[in-house]
Order: sequence, then C-alpha cells, then structure tokens
Amino acid sequence: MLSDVAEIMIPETETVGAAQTGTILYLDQLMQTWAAEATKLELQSFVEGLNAHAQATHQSAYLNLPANVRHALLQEIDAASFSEAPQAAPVKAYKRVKWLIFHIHYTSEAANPDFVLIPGQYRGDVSETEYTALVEENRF
Amino acid sequence: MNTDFDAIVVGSGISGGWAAKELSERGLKTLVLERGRHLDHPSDEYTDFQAPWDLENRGMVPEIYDEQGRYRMLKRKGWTYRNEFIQFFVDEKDHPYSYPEDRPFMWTRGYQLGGRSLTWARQSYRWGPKDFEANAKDGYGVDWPIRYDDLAPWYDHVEAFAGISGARDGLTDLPDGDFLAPWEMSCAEDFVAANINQSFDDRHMIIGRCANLSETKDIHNALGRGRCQSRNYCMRWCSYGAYFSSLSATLPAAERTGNLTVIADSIVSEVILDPETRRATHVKVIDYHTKEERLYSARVIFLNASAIASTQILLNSRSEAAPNGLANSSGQLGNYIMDHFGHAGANGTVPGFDDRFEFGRKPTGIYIPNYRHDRQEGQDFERGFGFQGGARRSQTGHSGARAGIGAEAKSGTYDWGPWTFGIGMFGEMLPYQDNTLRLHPTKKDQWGIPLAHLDCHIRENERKMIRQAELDAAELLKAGGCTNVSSVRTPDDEHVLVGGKTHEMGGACMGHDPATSVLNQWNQTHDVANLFVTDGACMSSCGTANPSLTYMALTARATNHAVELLEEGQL
Repeated sequence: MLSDVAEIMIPETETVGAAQTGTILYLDQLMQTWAAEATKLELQSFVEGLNAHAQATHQSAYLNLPANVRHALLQEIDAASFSEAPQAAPVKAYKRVKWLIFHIHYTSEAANPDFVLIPGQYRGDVSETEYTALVEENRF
Repeated sequence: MNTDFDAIVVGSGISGGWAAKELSERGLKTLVLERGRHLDHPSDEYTDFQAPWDLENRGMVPEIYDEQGRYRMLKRKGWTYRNEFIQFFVDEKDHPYSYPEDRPFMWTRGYQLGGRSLTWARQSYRWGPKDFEANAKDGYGVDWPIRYDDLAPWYDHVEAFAGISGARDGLTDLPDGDFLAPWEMSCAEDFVAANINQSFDDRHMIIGRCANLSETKDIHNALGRGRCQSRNYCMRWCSYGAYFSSLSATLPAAERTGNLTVIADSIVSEVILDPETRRATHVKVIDYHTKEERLYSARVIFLNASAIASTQILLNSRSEAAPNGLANSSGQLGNYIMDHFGHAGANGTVPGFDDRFEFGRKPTGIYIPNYRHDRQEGQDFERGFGFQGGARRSQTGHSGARAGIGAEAKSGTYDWGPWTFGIGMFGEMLPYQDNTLRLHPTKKDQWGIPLAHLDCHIRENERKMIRQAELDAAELLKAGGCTNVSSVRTPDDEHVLVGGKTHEMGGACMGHDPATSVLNQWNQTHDVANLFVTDGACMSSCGTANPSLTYMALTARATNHAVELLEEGQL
C-alpha cells in the first residue's frame, strides 16, 4: 500500500519515480535503523487511516480502488493536509509520511544524476551553459 | 611506559596541536594527553566521500536519541545535528555539565584526537589593535597585558603554516596577513559587496578568510595536505587534509620530530603542585575506560583542554597550598566567561542575476568586520559587532513539505529561484566578572570529577547591540542593492544561550596584575611559573572575530617563551 502511495506521489516521468528508487524498501529499512516507536506507530496509523478514509468515502479498501480514484483520493488528502486548517486533514500522519517518501526518493542515486561529489573548483559567476558543462564534466 | 617528559600538553585541539608542534620542534620530549579516543588521519570515521545515498539513514540522526534524551544541546544547535558527523560531537548525557535551570549554557565539545579542530568553522581573522585595547578603554574586564604588535609576528608564523586564504583588504581594524589566494565571491556577493563598500566609509564586506587551502605551498605539501576541492563537506572531515586541524597539520608536524608521544583516552583531572618549589610537577590522569589513575611528570605543562575544561582542571587542582584551585591566588579563576552572540540578522533577494550560477561549494562566505569599536552618534552601548553570511542561488527543494503530488509536483522540484543573501551578527560580549564557571558542589561525572557549573547571561549592553544589529543588518542589505529585505532578532525577554557560537572564552584571563588576573603576558600563570594556559581560557575580552587564529598565535608565542625560560634554566 505504501508503495502505491509513493508511486502516485512520485510517478515515473522523464525522470525516475519512487518505484525505481526503491523508496519504500528503504523506508522499511529506516524503520529498523532509524525510526523511534512513535514514528513506527505513525506509519501504521497512516496506513489504517488511509484505508478507513477510502472505506468512508468510497466504500472500498484503498488498494481495491481504481488507479485514478486512488490518485484523486491522495490529491484530496494532500490538499486538506496542507490547507490553512490542517486539523481537518482526513488521514493522520499524512504530511510526515509524505516528507519521508520525498526525502528518501530525492536522496537516492537514481534521482540525482547530476550530483557532483568533488567539484574540484569554485566558480561564482557562470552562465547556465557553463554550469551545465561543468556538471557534465564533474558528475559523480 | 615512560611517564616523565620535558613538556606535557593537555588537549589536542587547535591550541594543543600548536603547543605540541612548537615544543616538539624545539627539541622537547612532549606528551599530548587527549581525553577522547585516538583518531587516525585519514580515518574510517570520515564520511567525506559518501554521496547522499551512501549516508547512513540518509543523514538523519536516529530518532532513538530523542527517546533517550541524548545529544539535546547538539540538536538545539540545529545545523550540526547530522548523522554523518555526529561522531565528532559529545553527548552531554555521557559527559554532563551543569547550569542554572533558567539560564542554560551550550557547551559543544568533541572528544577525539584533534578535538574541536575537526569541526571548527575555519574562519581565521587577526584581531586588530582596538580589540586588545578595548578593556583598557572602557574599563570592562582586565586590561590585556599585550597589544596587537606583540602578537603580529606570531600571527605571521601560524598563518604561514596553517594556510589561510584571504584577500589583503587593507583594513586598519582587521589587519592583513600573508594569505593564500582568496576564495572568489559569487556574482551576487560581488554585487552586494561593491554597493556596500561604495555606500559606507566605515563598513566593508570582504570575502571570508578561512583555513582551507585554496592553494598549497611546500610547507603544506610536506605534510601531505592537498588543495580544497570545494565540496564544503568539512564537518564530515577532510581526507585531503585541506583544512587546517591538529590531525592534518600540527600533530603530524610534531610527530615527524620524533619527540612526540600521544596518549588518548586519558582524562586529566588535576595538575599537582609541589608546595615547596611552587612548580607544577605532575598531571593526574584517569583512564577513560578503566578509570585507573596515573601520573605524568614534566618540566613545563601547557593546558589546552578548552576554555571551560582547562579552567575546570585548575579549579579541581585543590591542595593545602592552593585551596581554591591552582593559580587562583587572585580569586579570578573561573570568572569572565564569554562567548560571541548572534540573535540578529537580515535576509534579502539579490536582483539581476537570474541567469548566473555558481559551481562548486566554497568553504567560506563573506565577512563584515566590526565597525563600531568607537561609539558613533546615537550608539548607546560599548564595543560592537560584525556580520557573517553569504549569498546563494535558491532552489525550490522537493515537494515533501508543501502541497502537491504527482507529475506536476515533481516538475517543480529543485527549480532555480533568485539569489538570496543572509547575514547574521557576531556580537562582542563584555567580560563580566560574575559570568562564572565553578565546580558543582555535589554532582560529579562518571570519573569522579566535579561537574563544570556555568552561570552566564548577557546583559543590557548586549541587548542594545542585538537591537542595533537588526537595524544595521537591514540597512546593509538595502544599501547592498537587495530587495525584499527582512530582518529578525531575538526578543528582549528571551534567554540568549551563552556558548551558542562555540566561542567560549575566559575563565583564566591574562592581565598585568597577579591580584586581578590568572595569567601574565606570556600565558604563564602568575602563581606557578611552569604552568601555561593558551586556549580560550586566557582571553581577557572576546572581540568580534572568530578567536581560533588568536589562540594559535598566543600558543606559539607562549611556547617560544617557555622554551627560552627552559634554556635559561629559569624553569
């Protein structure tokens, strides 16, 4: 279920999506190496809350919903969670789970093809063309 | 194992490394005692070659530390709370200290060979003549027994070895040195600096001077130190040895003399005085792991454990001959604790450079040195403040913390935004006699040493500076051509955490008079001729510029004097 959520949040486009970066596999690992009990419980409550919300609004478990409905459901939850009245958010811990998914994805190797570990020099005033060439020349 | 040496240096951080180097190079069999673990250079504890995806837990500190109440002060510090370099910082749960509940003090430490020289910010500025004259001028604290000219040749000496990059800016209050090539300003910094320098006679924005090798000289190559690679991963430590530290520079230089012995895991609890000769004869060490006590002897002893730890050792060195702590006949030991303070600054947008970028991550920003040494019209406080900061090309980041999902949210990720500029103040805290370090009357650490108890707070003079700095910061950025300028400051009723800048100074201040100070003009204790203190404890005022370069110069000067005294048979 979390894999599905991650793929909807960060789909494959011209760049890799959460599925290609193994985001949820890494999230599972973090539950062993990094997360406190409170965070583990938050993730659990998110999964239960999402299913409960799907039942309440569509009379179906989340994963049994068609893809377009799952997408729309997450969009609605996202909008409510970031609204000016976040207490109205229908699913607990949504923002926390979302941040973790994005953080894991965007710190993955596949999502950082232009990462430069060792620039070797500093230049404080380059054009976009020069910048792109320097990245190309020095990328990890 | 040999326990008798010519010299003992307590601590291996910035100043301890220098003491070890200078004393070893002058032919003294020198013992360095480090309370933390041994660390090689390079070490498998370094994480500087790890890409973001290689970092354990992707850089996030394990949450169990929150549950266990560990590293609370480091977390409060904020930007240093990262998994990839937390190993270089101390957890106060294992190494407690004490402060009044309503006036917390931040003591950031690193217990490993090299100490905090592994995690310092590398900003390296000479103090100017006015910094050494300030106490005499306004009467706060005790007058420095030296002036800039006494230290200038020693600044030359340490700069050449350490490698300080910087421009020769020609500023009277911030003397130039023999610098390595300066780091380049970004286009936005260049623009703002030019506008500020044109708008004010007394305010100058310069490129930060830092101890990262922008180029290497023979003196650096000989120690295997390489040029900085513009990674700005300094806190993860630098396998190239491109930034100056005890591990990359002074300890290897001392090692090659054949005169150096380093013993790690050795906590110095006290210095022992011979009451007959009034000489320090031994240091007592408690083994970190076994808690076994050992004694080491030497003809001369240098305390370089840090401002707080060196003062704590002296306070704990109580005997019949020194009932209030060693070198404390003045009663001033533990007084005048200082730190720089921030708590005001400004941010703005730099227009006109949306098609310009920077490549690489330079290890320094910009510096605006103190321009308020002398009272200006309307100025209702003593001393002054400088600013540090810089420009960066903003990026939108990922969408994890804002609304939006799917392809649309993804497409707005890491988009370039405008150049932004931020500056924050570095204020000079006055030396207050009653900002103190004492030994806790009842609480001890796991080695049986009384805890350091720090009772320090800023006063109205510092509050006035914070208020003025907020105004000045906004004025500077506006004059620099920034738009959307906003300023911030800590409200008057909010506690300002002393120690927050990790520039603790004082506790064993230098001065002319043995009745009012602990150290003389050579960093030698007034009371015990073969005992020197050359870390931050010796500082009689705190200036506004980062102090490490001054510790280095004072240490080199003091070691030279100690060796001369030894050669003359006076010690």
